[in-house]
Amino acid sequence: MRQRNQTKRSRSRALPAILACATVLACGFFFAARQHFSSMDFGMKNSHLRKQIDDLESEKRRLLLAREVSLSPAELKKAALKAKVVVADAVTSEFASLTTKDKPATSQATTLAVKTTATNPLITKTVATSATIAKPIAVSVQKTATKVSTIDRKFVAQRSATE
Amino acid sequence: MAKRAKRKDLRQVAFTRFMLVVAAFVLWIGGISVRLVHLQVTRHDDLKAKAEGIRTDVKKSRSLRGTIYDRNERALAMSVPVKTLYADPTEITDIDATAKAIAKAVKVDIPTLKLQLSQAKEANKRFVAIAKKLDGDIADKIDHELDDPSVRKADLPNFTGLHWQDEQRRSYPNGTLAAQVVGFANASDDGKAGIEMSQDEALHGAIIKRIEERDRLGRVYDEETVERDAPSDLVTTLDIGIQNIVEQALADGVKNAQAKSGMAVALDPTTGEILAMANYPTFDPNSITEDAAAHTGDQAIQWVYSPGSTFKIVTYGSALERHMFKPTDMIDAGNGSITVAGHEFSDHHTGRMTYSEALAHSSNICAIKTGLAVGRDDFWSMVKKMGFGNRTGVELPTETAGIVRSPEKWNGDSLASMSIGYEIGVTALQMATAFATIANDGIRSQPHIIKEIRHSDEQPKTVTQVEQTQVITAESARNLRTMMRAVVLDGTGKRAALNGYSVAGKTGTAWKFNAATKSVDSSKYVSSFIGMAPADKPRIVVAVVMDEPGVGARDGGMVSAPVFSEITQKILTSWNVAMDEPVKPESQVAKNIPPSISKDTAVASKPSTPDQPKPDSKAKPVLPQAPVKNKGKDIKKTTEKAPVVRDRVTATLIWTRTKFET
Repeated sequence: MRQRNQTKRSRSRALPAILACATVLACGFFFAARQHFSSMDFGMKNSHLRKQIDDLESEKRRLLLAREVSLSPAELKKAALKAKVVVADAVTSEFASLTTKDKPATSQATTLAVKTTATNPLITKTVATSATIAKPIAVSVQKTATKVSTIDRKFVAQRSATE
Repeated sequence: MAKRAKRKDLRQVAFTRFMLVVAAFVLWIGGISVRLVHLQVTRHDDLKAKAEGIRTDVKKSRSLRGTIYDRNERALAMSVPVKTLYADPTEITDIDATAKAIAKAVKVDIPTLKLQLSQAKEANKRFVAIAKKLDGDIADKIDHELDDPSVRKADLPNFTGLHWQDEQRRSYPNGTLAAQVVGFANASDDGKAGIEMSQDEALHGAIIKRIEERDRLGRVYDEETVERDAPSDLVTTLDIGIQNIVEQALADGVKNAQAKSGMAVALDPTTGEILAMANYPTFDPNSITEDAAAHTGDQAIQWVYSPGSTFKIVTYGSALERHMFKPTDMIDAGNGSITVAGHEFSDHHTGRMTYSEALAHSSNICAIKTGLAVGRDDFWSMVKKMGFGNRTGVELPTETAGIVRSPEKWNGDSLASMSIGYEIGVTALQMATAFATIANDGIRSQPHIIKEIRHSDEQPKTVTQVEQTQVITAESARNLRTMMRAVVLDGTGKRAALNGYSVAGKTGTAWKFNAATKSVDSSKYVSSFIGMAPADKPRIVVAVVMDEPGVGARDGGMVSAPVFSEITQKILTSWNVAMDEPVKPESQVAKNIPPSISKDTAVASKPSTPDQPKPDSKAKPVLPQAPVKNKGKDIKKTTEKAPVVRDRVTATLIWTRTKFET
């Protein structure tokens, strides 16, 4: 009888310990499982985010390319031709500002040019100069207005491309 | 007694039963153990691979090819990710239904697709491309169209047997701009021309290996990316703005002159940076056609031509180096004729003139006399120091060294011929570099087109180091510039003049050699103008070379100089370079614009006149002796038998025994 009581007592002492251990073990398993599934969940989220980054980077490249294409000289030229009036105004104003700014120097330049031509005997010696000087100048003077505006239109488009 | 025996029997029965249970349990455990050993030991590798195959997904793709930028970070070539839709016929059970569904989403012919899928399924092929290189948004639309709710698949599109393959597409946002310089890459991401080819190793996209681990629902829960040697980005010295100016002017010039082709190079003389390199006709690297293939080569570094009078700067440069004259010293052209080694050279410039005037009017006699006075060794030394006969080292593929024969292979009159730019083959870039040397006070900066190479984040960028060599003294270079200034002021290059800026340069015109007839063809010219501005402190050197101008006065001063003028004027203005010359009024500026050449003018000014030599004999090439004048006037000619053509080089250079005036 006494022995049975002793056994019961020792069992009653061991039981809480076993329960505690089991609880700790269960908690450990539970925690590990939670960690595992959490890790998988994070992994999935991570993968999803990486895919998003890839997609966004791809999109960024596509947009960069589209930007470069739209800023290319050919596209700018097309755009400038569409907006003909605006470009013409810009060309006129730019040309006007140039000529206004350079006016004081002009008369001096003309004088110098004439002086050089008159005083230099080589001009008469050169076939290139003597044979060709008259006609080409006449042709280009006739075409001045259109030629200059064409060039400047291209130039304005070019400058805006550079800027 | 009987009771005891019965209890004993019960115990025995219980024990036996217990043992049977134990035995069964042992057998069960043993069976499981054996099975486990079999699975984990014997079939370990097989099952592991199978498990990994189910769980792990290995994707291989190529990282995007590096981007090529201009000097202002504007993209010249870049790659974008695209997708190719493909079918794995081995996974498809109902080919008819699949073909119909695909045809609904992607516009393809159903019978053709059916046939393709059936044949591939029979041949056990696992890849049938359906739609190649689609952009992301189009791929998304197709995914949406093909979505089948009854199918559970890890990847898109959610349709049995269909998959996407990641690829890339090379794009050239500026189209034809700098096409020959940038080059192009083929569908396999291999550079095939230009910088794409020469820098392929740096640009080439490495293989990316991506290992993805999936759960039973196909969701990726872990992934690892392995990438080796990420591709590098390149920054070139090109400037899109300048390139555009150069290409526009060149195209206009070639069209106006109805030339076969043209090329132009713009260099920064101080650094040797190539700001623009243009060829016309050109091509669009975004769509390579068979016709375009003829224009993919960069003629500015690959085409060898005889420089004609532009080469006289070497002649006068070597004489200036030896302090043989000053630009204002006098030289006698005599009666406009000189005989060297039995070969008579002649032109129409006669009498005494200064060296500056001799260069300005491109007197061949004066250049030959100067060359002969310099002597073979010094002249040869200068030719080599200027970089002729060697590749410039620019980072572009298939550059040619030109044709320069060593002195021991020269004929008796070779020095005279070379003095006026014959018996020598050069490239436009070599000539531009020589002029840049003069512009940079005699210091030759190696021309280059790659500014820097940007590696991945871990490695520092590689910046191109410029190699600089003093070729001639600063004083000689200044004197040469002064002499070349006269070319534009009073000589053959008047049409190169700028408004507000001084220009120094030289014209050049040469007849082309006809390989078929092995003689020069007096109807075909190479006309060039190479110059720099502002003359005192040049900021830019521009070379313009036209091949076979068809109409009008076809000399360099008429054909190429106006193109130079247009290019340089725009560049200097856009750079806000301080003007060193007075600004001329509009009417005077117009003089520099090349006139549009009408047909009448063209006929009138065609240099081929009845009294012009016509090289027509194959065995005896006719060697024109006459200077080529504007408008075909004052053409003097003599003909003589050419020496027997010994080899190809000699054949190419044989027409150097001609005398031209530019």
